[in-house]
Amino acid sequence: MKSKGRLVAAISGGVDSSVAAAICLEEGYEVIGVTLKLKDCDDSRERRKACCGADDFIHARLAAAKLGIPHYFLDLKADFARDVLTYAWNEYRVGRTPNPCVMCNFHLKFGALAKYADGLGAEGLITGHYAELERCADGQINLRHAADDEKDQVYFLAMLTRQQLSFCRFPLGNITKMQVREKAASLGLSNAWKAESQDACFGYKGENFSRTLAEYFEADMPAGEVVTEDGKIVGYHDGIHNYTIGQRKGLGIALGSPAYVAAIDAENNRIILTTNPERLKSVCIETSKPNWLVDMPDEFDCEAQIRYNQTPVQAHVVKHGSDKTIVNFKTPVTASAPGQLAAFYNDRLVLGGAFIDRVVQ
Amino acid sequence: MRRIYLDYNSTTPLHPGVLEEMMPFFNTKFGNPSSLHFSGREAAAALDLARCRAGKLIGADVDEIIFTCGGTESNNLAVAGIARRLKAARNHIITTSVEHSSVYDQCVRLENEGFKVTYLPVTRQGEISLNDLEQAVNERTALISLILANNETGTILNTEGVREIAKKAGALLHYDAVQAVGKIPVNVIELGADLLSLSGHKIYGPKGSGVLFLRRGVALQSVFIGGEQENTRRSGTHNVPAIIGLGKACEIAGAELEEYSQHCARLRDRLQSGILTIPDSIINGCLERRIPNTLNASFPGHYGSGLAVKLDLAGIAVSTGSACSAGRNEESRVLKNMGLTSRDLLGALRFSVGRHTTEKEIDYTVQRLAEIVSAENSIGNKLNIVNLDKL
Repeated sequence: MKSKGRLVAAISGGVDSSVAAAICLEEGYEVIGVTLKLKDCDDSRERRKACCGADDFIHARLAAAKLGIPHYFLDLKADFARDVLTYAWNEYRVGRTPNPCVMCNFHLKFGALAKYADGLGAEGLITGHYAELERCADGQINLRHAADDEKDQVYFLAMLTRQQLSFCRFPLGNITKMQVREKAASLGLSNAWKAESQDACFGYKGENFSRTLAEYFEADMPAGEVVTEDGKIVGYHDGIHNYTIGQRKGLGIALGSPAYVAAIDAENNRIILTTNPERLKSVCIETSKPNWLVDMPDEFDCEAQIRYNQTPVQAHVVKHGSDKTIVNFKTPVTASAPGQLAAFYNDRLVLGGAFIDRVVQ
Repeated sequence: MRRIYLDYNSTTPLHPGVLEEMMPFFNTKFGNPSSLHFSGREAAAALDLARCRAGKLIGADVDEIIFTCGGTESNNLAVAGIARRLKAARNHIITTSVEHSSVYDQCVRLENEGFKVTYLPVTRQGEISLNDLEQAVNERTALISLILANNETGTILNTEGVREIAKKAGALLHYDAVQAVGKIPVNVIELGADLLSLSGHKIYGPKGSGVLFLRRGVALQSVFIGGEQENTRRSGTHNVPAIIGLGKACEIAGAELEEYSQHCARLRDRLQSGILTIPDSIINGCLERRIPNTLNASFPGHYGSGLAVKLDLAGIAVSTGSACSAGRNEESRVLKNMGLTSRDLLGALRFSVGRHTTEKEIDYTVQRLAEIVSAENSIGNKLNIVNLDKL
């Protein structure tokens, strides 16, 4: 049987990427599995996941063997440390909230790995992302929301360039997670009913990402004041990196009514709290480093999403030059955080994305 | 797809005669050789036959054979066992910078425990200098551990004069002969070896079997303790089927040594001629002193890991170096310490032929390799990520 062409599949060890590879294999492509190694073993503390992902590696290898495809490990530890961890920590240090998954997609999965796939003579890279790609006759490639709303991951793909997208294959874009699991089970994959592992690719048990990063970089973040909006000192913090805007839990401070992190004032090393949830809402954000997947005019209406678990809201976007973009929300949005990604949509279509720099209340 | 296996230094298939010999010891002759009863005796006798066969292959007596689970264990036990036993009187070890990791890493660990280790440099051909050895050895030297045939390049070490230097200093001499045995004559008496390691699965025996030759009268501190098997030097119930297989493999290797080595040399040399027709290719190691089945070649400007993947996808199995360090995100220590430039050593591939290799396979391999190298040269899609990894 003549193969339709060669594709490389990023196989993480999870069910999604394994099934994505299987679908392309069934379509008649020659598929080569590659698993990324992103971090070293560290047996010093208990991890949420197995140290260095060794459990995922075993499932990845089992899946590849089950599918009968060649499989290799690709060591991108140095890239991960540089492009994801160092980036993320540099953001936390200045009071911003990084988006490591966006960077990992841009630099690693659809960067270094795509380059590797190209070197292997592959004509595309398969991943298990829930997103749809539409290849138009005029060469335009459209990124669209996945059929499974619950699993839709286009938010994390909004910063990929058109060139990167043109190399992508997202076979799970038009099916549901349940269908993926059922397919995995019917193929006899060991990871068919494995628990989700979306978050915390770099976390320890009972510890958030920023705290893990601080230990990783052996950073000595100074303690500082926690203040109310009118400047009253109500407590002390152990480093601004441990706080995110909108955070309510784990503040350890009683103000009579529920308190939220309203702002992170990196310059004065202060965390500013509010008891008024309305203060978390913003009507406008300023963004930079935009990535447009569709040619957009200088001003347009769209839907905007400012973090993964937020329902997009109607917005009006105004470009100021090639870097700066002002986004005005039609309805106020809670807890916009500098450093996070703003993604722009028109119905099912992804228009692009940009990083939040400033929040206007 | 056609499958061609050119990685016999990594491991070999079981010889049918070996498998046949092993089979009864999985079921009917299942006894524990340490038992006093008939079932144990049956297994113990079979074990002793294996001991005779292993001893015969390397010129050792039956009581000088310790069965281990493989080359790594034999090397670990030799180096750590002697060092720890002699620590009070002698705390110095001499080895080379091109050892297999099972010796090298053990030496590094012993350094952390307070031992002093000298890593002898080697020439571009992989040879040590006797002068360096003489300079390094002293009255505190417990052990000299040397790799007899290098696993990556196949270079046979220049051992002439080594035993005299060791003897003069009262140091013990260990050879890692894992890649040498079965390919060249190896004799512990001629080598003047006090210890010598070999592995079963490199000579068409089963994986998980190995031997440490320990000269009569030499004591070591064991690593495994408890059951007092192997005269207390290696505790733990014997892996009887594997040991039986190892013994048979040793017998066959000895009987067929000359024929096997000629077969390998003929094919390896054919491969070498073919590879040398590929522009800019170079052969690494010593061409004159080399085990007959091994060829290490560099394709400067290309990446060995990338070439290995492309050959794999074409159904041809080769490696970039030792299977025990394949794909670690680092350059080959062995080639680096032989003085290869970064460009040359990153472009290195190891080919090792064996019993089932044919001329047709060699010719096909050369043809495909030439195509891959030439394609990388013309369209420039060299796999420029060197850190291919394994679990």
